[in-house]
Amino acid sequence: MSEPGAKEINSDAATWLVRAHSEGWCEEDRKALDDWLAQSAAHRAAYWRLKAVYAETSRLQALRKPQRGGGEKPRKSAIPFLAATAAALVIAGVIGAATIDFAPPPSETYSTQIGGSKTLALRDGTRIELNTATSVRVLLTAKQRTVWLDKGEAFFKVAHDEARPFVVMAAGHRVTDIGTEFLIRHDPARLEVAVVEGKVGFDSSDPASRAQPLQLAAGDVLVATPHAITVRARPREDLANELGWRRGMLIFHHTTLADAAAEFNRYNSHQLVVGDEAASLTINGAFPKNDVMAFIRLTQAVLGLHVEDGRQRTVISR
Amino acid sequence: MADKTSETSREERGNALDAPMNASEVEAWFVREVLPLESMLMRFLHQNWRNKADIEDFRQEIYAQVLTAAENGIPERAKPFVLTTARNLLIDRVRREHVVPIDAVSDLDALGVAIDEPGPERSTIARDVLRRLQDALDRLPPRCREAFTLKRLEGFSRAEVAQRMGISERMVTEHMAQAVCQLADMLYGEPADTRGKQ
Repeated sequence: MSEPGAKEINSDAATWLVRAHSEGWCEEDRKALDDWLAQSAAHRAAYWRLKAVYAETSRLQALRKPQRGGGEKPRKSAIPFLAATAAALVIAGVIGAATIDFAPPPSETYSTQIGGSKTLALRDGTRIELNTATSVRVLLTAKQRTVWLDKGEAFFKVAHDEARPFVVMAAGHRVTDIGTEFLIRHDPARLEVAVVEGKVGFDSSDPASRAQPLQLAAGDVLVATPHAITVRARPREDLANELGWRRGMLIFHHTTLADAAAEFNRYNSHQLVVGDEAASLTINGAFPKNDVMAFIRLTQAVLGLHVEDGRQRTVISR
Repeated sequence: MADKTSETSREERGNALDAPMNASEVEAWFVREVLPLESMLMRFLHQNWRNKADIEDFRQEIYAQVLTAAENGIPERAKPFVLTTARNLLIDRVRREHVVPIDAVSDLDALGVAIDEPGPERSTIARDVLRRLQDALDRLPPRCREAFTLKRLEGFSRAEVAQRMGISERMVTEHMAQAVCQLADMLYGEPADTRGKQ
């Protein structure tokens, strides 16, 4: 019956599908795919089946896709754009929203260095814990409480006050507290909002945006990139791991060495560089976030990797 | 089939193949009517065939036969058509393989009953689909899930995903391909109520 097995056909079909949705797909490729599909009904069945599931997964994206501004743009250009416009958008958003204040009082700025952390106790009873290399501005008025997370990561435990909404602005997005604890991490090309308790609202602070506001519940993790916004429900342990830094720990669970190193690099000026071949090894475990040497010793002893110490950085390779 | 068709005429007719039915119509029918039957089909195959290693090939062959037929005219009711195709395929295999043990096909006669059962409620499937997708995503191998999430859900390009994950673009494609195959098996092939198991 079927000469090439179903596995092989399926895997070919999947490769076609992924290529068709990746950069570099051209007219010639499309014709080649058409020919492949025309070769047998088994090819068509496999391809259409995978194409259907691929289409279904769009449901996992949130309700919108931000404008991409001219198709597939390399991230290089997207980062500075996002970083540069974030502040401008944020300010525009606030002035638009708070027309009552002709001259809003100056906000107070708080920040941490690499490896630092700080807990802010605001007058309204709200606590904000700042993680490494983080900068926030806080503005409390009679009508509204606003925090700008300009960079880094912060955990918010908000004292609820219906008369005075609590709003966090970051990367052109607005997170509104609805009585809750949540975490926001603002990296150059990525904004993550994780809700630990209660609910938060999420929308764009750009008045021109036609995006729909979202409401996030406990356990929801939202990720906004210049390309798309996604929301996923995550198990409690995952969130607890992510919040390990509040206890001075980095917690890894099936984390790649490359990601783990990137995580350590957020906290330490001594930088880790992981060679290509070692990058995709995965690790589990909890490490003191400031003790990069403990992590290096482990990779050396357990994974048998080669470690080369420099003055400013350590290279880990196979 | 389509290799007789010149490229220009294929252009003019979209993706149509040399068959009475328009390919996109057949595709739409296949996705709408046949794929939702997959978990039932898999259950049927598992119940009636002992060598589990054959089952994926059977599914593939059944789909190919169903499509070939549909390209000449879409069957009025998908479910009896798919099950009859499956049944005939199994009978054919039993006849062809002389060494098939007697209990390989347990109750093909009972299939007559199954064919007349009402189809799965599509509304239930649709309502459930988001939850099942999330669950399926969580069960992917970590690297596949990571590649899939970055590329498909967060919208990074293949080159960007490769850079972030510290792997080659080719590996990104492989992880993605594996993710798509497994998602399809979980979403279509598994019964809706066994989430989180296996």
